Amino acid sequence: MLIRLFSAELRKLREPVTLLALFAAPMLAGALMFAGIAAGERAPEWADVWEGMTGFWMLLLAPLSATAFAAFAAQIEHRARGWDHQLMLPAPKWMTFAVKAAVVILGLWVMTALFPLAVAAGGWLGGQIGAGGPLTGQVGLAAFYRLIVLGAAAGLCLTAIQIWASLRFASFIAPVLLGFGGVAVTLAGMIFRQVDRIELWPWGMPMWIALTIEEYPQSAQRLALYGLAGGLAVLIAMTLHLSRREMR
Amino acid sequence: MGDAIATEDLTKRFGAVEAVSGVALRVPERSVYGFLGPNGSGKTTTIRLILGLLRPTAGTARIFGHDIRRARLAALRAVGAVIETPALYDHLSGRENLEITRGVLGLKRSETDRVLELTGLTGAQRRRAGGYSLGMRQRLGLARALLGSPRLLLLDEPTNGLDPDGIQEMRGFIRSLPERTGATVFLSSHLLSEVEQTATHVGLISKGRLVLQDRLAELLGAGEATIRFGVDDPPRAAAALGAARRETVETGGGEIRVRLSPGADADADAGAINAALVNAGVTVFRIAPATRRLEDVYMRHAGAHATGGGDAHPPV
Repeated sequence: MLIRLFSAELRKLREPVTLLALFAAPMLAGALMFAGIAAGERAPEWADVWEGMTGFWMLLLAPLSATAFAAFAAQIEHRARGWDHQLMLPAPKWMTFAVKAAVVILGLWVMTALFPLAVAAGGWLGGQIGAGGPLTGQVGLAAFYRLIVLGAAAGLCLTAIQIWASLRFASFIAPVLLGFGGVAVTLAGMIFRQVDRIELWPWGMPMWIALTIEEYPQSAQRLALYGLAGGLAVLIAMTLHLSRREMR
Repeated sequence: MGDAIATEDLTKRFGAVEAVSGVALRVPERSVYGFLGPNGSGKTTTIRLILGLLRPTAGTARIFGHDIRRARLAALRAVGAVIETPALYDHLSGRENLEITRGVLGLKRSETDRVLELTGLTGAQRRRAGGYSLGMRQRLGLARALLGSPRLLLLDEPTNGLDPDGIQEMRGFIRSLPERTGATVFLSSHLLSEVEQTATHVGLISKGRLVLQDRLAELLGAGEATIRFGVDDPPRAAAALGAARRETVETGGGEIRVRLSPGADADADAGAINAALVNAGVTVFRIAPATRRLEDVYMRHAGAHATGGGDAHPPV
């Protein structure tokens, strides 16, 4: 039944907008990377590029992509008023919601996997045509992936919260506001140099990992675990709550 | 045969409003049960309670003996349903909409072709559901409900949006289902004529209360035939029949409706009444059987409830 539900959810995503939702964030990062390198007079080192792009991804693109993609996937059901039909099928209610969440998480992992590739491609292309020439130093894609994966693990908590809000509210306004609010708090923490206060803030955890991975790798790993565990706990609470709720 | 649907004291409150109150439905297997009530009387809420989409404030609902709350999966395995306007994924084709449900139910691919054929949508299967007319959407919803040949079909206002030909087709289709597939059909409607032409059993709901439930034939009073006499002087005719100890059911508009004697030969009885009227000097210019209609039954049992206030509009 799990596989049947999963394949049904994937089938529902068959529309061009899904591709746009999946590729927009990584492609945006790649395009910015390309433009920045191509327009620059001196090629930076790969290590510096990764550092900057990691912050960009962890702080903004990843949480906002989670917000947008969760809302998008939930709206497919809300828009069609599909809950009645969905929940009158002989499938456990909890499984219906869990599978929906799994599809969103899978989509976000695809985005996460594409992001370093898009950045590397953008940097390489920019270096080929820019005045500054190719980027210097080692590409270091593997290390970057490791960091991004840790960020994705920590980001599970915020992703789960976004999915919950998206499925719970028929209007996309609530989850989108929640996502923007979450990012805004993280930004405020950075602007006012109070980053340590947002260590366990779900929308700030990936950013915190990016900031501390060099100096405190163990702390970063611990935080990734917290995010993962918190995310799983939120997902369990969500399936219990939504299964008991009268969905319309 | 048992009951396809059985509810006990089914009640649902939304805050202070009791939308469904103590409903005890009995829907026999292989029947077409017309669930009739004005708009806002609680029909859809009752269907949602039966399907477990709403939690009852009190009471129980069983589908083929399975309690919808305790054995939800077993109960729903036997059910196909369309609630209100069918919920469709507009960005997908008609076929893809069906394929999603077929996949979840674990049915063969040929099942999609079967229901498309059955509902006349084969030609439009590749078109986006968002471009379907209301009638086509209704048929696609029905096709989806028919996937897997469920033993029980719950259809909420199934002729909404259909053109006259479509309505006739749908009625014929629904009527034929018990014989063709052995399915039970639970059909909600605010249209008296629709239920009268389709159902074998009828339940009337008004302001959340089930006010009547029986076989349609019983409700229409097979044993209580009446005859209408067109007369020149209805009061005089009523007095004459009173003297002859005949029961006058209704008088007015140049007519008098008289109940036939139970068990008597209808033709002979009508002749005797005619003779009594003529002998009393009343001119009789028309004699016609007055079959009882569902509208009469409705007005007697629920009319006062339905028109007594609130937002509910009586069935038409």
